[in-house]
Amino acid sequence: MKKILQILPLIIVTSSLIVAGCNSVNPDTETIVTEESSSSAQAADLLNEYSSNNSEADQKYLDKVVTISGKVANAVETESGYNIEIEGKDELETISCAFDKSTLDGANLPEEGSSITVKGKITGYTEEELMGLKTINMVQCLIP
Amino acid sequence: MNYSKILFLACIASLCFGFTQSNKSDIKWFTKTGKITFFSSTPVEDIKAVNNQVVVAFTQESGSIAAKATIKSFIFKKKLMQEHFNENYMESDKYPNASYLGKIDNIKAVDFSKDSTYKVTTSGALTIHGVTKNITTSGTLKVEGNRATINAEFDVLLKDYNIKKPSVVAMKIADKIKVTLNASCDKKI
Repeated sequence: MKKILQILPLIIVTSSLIVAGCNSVNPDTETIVTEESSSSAQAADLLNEYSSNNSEADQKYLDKVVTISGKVANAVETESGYNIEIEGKDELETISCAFDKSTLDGANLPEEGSSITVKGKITGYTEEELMGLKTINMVQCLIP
Repeated sequence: MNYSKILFLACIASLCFGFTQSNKSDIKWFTKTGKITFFSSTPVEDIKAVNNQVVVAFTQESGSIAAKATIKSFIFKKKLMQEHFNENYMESDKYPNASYLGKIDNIKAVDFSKDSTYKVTTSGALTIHGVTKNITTSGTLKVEGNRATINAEFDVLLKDYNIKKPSVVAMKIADKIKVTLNASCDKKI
């Protein structure tokens, strides 16, 4: 018992240092989501919800972590990481998912047409005038 | 209705039909991974943010061009900066998107069958923070087969778009923000 009491402070200090070390990885930046998904949806269904009623969909999903499933329209490298577009009913309606370099293996980007599930934070929805491009944007994405 | 009136109406109808058809057949180019970078430089601090999810589309014949960006997709190096940007300056809950709608004025000078870099000018309406202003910009359009890359750079004055800087951080944020656009658009017939 005496021995345990002697090493207890050492255990506490060591544990504290480990926890502090883990939390201090990039304390300033926000690159991946750590929260649980608030909901899951098929890409086409979420795009339908947004195009039917943008403000109602925003109330449900904006700034929230959502898990999306669908088919890959394309996957490209960007300056800060990678971007995977998940197709809705066609290539003009997609969910655009931004990944940090640390959360996706650039050498093995998913192939066009393959099925994928992505978790990320929704940052908004746009409808473009010339071609009617509909896009939901997600950031801090990862493949769960 | 006499013969000349019928002929006149037929001509008008055929002109309208022809116009509609040419718009429909106008080749379009687009990307959903265009990049907008903005850069603020002051003696106190340099601030940079990047948005890699910008939707950009243009038409080959008419030169119409449109771009849309969600404000919350701008990524900063520091999380706190990003929060201030969204909550205090851009009020992104109230004004979630920035957009541009205009024309490439000299689109006819671009030969899409010949790979090269062409100087272009655009004029149109830029909407930020709920305020729309007409702007003219110059840049380049690089044609490489079925890909056309737009590069442009322009300045945005915060006061033009009614973006206020809280006095506490006024020294850290420039009045004039440098904005660059890079968008590699794919051909869509």
